Amino acid sequence: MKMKNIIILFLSILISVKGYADNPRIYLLDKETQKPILYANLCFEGLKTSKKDYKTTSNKGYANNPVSEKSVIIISFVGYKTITDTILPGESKTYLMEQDLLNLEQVVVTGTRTEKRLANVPIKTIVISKNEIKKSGAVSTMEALQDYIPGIVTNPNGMGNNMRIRGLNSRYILFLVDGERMVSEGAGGNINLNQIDFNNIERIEIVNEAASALYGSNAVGGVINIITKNPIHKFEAGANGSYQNYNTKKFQVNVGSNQKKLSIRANAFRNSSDGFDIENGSYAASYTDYGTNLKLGYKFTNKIVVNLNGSFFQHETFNPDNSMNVTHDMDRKLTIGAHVSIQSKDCCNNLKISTNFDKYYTYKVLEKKNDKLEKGNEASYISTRIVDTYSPNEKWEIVVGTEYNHEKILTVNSTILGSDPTAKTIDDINLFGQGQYTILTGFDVIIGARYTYNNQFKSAFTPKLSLMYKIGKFTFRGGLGNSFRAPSIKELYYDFNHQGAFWIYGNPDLKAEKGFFSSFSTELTVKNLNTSVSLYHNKIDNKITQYIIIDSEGKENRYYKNVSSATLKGFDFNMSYLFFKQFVLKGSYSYCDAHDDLTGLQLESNVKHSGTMSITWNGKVLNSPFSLQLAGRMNSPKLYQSLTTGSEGNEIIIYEKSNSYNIWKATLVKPLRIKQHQIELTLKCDNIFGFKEKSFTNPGQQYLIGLKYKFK
Amino acid sequence: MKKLAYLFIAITFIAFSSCSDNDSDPKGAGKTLNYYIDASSKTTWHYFSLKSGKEVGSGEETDVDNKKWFASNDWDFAVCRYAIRTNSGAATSIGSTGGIYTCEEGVKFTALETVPNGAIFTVDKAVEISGHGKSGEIIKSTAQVITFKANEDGSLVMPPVYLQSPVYIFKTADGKKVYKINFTQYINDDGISGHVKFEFAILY
Repeated sequence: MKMKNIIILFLSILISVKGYADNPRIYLLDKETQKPILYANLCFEGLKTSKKDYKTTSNKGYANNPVSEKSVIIISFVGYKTITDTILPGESKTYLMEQDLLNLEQVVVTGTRTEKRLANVPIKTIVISKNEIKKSGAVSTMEALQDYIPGIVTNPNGMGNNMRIRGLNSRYILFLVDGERMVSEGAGGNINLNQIDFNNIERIEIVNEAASALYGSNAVGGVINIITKNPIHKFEAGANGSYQNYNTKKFQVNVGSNQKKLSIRANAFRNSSDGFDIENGSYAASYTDYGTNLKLGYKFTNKIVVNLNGSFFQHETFNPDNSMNVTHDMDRKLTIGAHVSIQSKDCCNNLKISTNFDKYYTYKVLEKKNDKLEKGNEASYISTRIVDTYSPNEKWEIVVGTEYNHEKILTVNSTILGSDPTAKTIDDINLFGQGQYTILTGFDVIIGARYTYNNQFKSAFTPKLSLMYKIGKFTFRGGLGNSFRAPSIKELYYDFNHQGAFWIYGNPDLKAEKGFFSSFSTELTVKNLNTSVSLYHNKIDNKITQYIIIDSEGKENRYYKNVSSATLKGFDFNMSYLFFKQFVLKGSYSYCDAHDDLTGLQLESNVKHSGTMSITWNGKVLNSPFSLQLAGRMNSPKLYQSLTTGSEGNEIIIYEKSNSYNIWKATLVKPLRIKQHQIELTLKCDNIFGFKEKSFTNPGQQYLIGLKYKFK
Repeated sequence: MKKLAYLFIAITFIAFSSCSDNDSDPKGAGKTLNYYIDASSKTTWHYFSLKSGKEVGSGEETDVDNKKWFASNDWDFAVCRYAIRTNSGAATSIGSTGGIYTCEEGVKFTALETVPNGAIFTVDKAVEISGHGKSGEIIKSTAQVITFKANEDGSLVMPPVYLQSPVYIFKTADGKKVYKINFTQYINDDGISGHVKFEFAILY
């Protein structure tokens, strides 16, 4: 042990002795830096009475020992490995906490709707933590996802990211923000991830399998849950800025406070870019985004907590310099939510009541009329939910809930949607339940189901079964489940002119798409190595597909029909390895065969082979930490296969594909802390080898400089 | 002195008389004129005479209307949304000799004073149209009022980006006169497409 560590340990013991003399205390220190760990969570449970108590370490890194009998103490803090020990009344102790560089101690909520350690959650979950995001130099939610999830392809347009995973577009992936459905142009529509304040992300949880039993429609191919930050300190504030090629500027400010009863966090951001042209026509539009978020929490008692949240987002895309367009698009979104959490006296029941309201507007900006706004359409979405989690003992955890959703789209401009201004609504009511039973230590089973009554397609029943078995260093997980995707309001009711190219007609008789998912995974954790292999099979029936009819005037018209089915099967491999204490190697590989069952053709934009890889050096120079990361993502060709009818009525199969690609980036992050002030410099070179491809909206090599300031 | 005055008047009279032959002076000769056509209908062609500097009529995209206009020498070009028709090739049944030359990128309307050496005027032909709500054959020029930003395979970038078209040189239906034309608008201030504005001037 180094001399410095011995001195610190000696001082700690002295402090402990002093603490014992005055007041029994628990001290937490970072094992590596020996610095106090502030605001960590301590949970105590009496061994005889099972009486529970909770503490948080102070701003000096300690908490009083509250126990009156011999108790189990569980110490947890974000980014550190959880410690479990026993403690006696009046005892003072010092714990050295070890950083969790492999992220296995992370608490996740998406797979079961309850908090669980990543290593113990029966539903295989991938987590991208804020530290990982920071070290990767990512500056958008999409970039963070692409860094860690293989096979994501995106062709951004004015309406959103236009993302696909495994040949499924974003309508088959459920996006959540703090557990609430993210909507843009309506539930189940295209999603614009730029509405998320990227600097406000605590972590991103990804469940790469169907989850309709818990979440309902759209959770067919997976769930992506973006968890935002909560205030931790009595007073905290920060500012972030970055500059990248093409005049891409991102700024954010935040302020927060966590008092005894009241907590508040507010942030605002502005992102803009000049956009860029790439060869062969495709381009990324110039844009300006504004957004603001407010989170307010009030603890009436330790058992009753009320949280309110609100956010506003404006997205405006401009025309290229050489364009003769005289209008451009703008959309605005407002979200308001309220959540009440009530815990029973014995802590066995935890009731959560929540309601969330989204309102979305689209506009045309008339550039030659002083930027006058012409309203396009409006969409609103209200979701109200009551969920009770009942944990009578360590073996059982039961979640039951009911949910009501109301969606409305109003078109007010006939040139955008439909031939007349009109409103359409969809309502659904849901009952769901899930029970987790620990048969033996390390052997858990989850059974759940959801019943949905939808006023349009009537009903859907989606049961599921999940198993987890831990033996030694291995964890085995398996699951079966049904899923569904309700047709969107656009698919049901709206006739609209698709950018002047053709007309698309809604079909009010559409049924919900039904999926059946099965998966099996093996995870191995050996000291500094975590690796897993997952096999999956996902069959989607009643798939809603567009088909083309040329009318007597030669006009091209497209209609929706539940005509096809698709099968997705493949496997994922993930690996994290910590070596020489300072280096983390991460890698993933995914193989996916996603084909239409009738034609055997691959689903649009499917990438059969994809992978990600990163190596991060968490080093120190003159005792000053930094991180240097080299990260890459590799895709085999994006496949475009389609069946069309020739002029003589013959079927023609078109096989097209992009080039394969691999994109690499290097990021250096250098933090500097002076008392309560922290400054962080980020330097990034993206797309190091300047890869360009016509189907890949990327201008080539880019450089970024970012600066963050944090006060706490 | 009187004789000289009479001579001057006589010469002036003769000079003016010689200009008023059957081909009257083109409207606005030597000047740049501007014109607006509401070509927002997807099926209506608006026929324009360069010499008279105005729209001389319209016709539907039907065999009957096309036949009528293809047998006329009174128009030089026509516009239907973003398509152009010239009184030439497949768009004439009486051997009119109009046509269009598309100037190279970078040529400015104001700077253009002559027809470039070797300029070839293309004539109309039957073109297979797909997309843009229409599929089938149509007789038109291969030039467009407004060009679109397109991908390598010819598909349009979405949402459509309308680009400034090049400067065109049009021959009149009788092939005797040549005009330069610059299309300056396709979408009106309310964002409605098919509202075409152009400036034009005679070259010779």
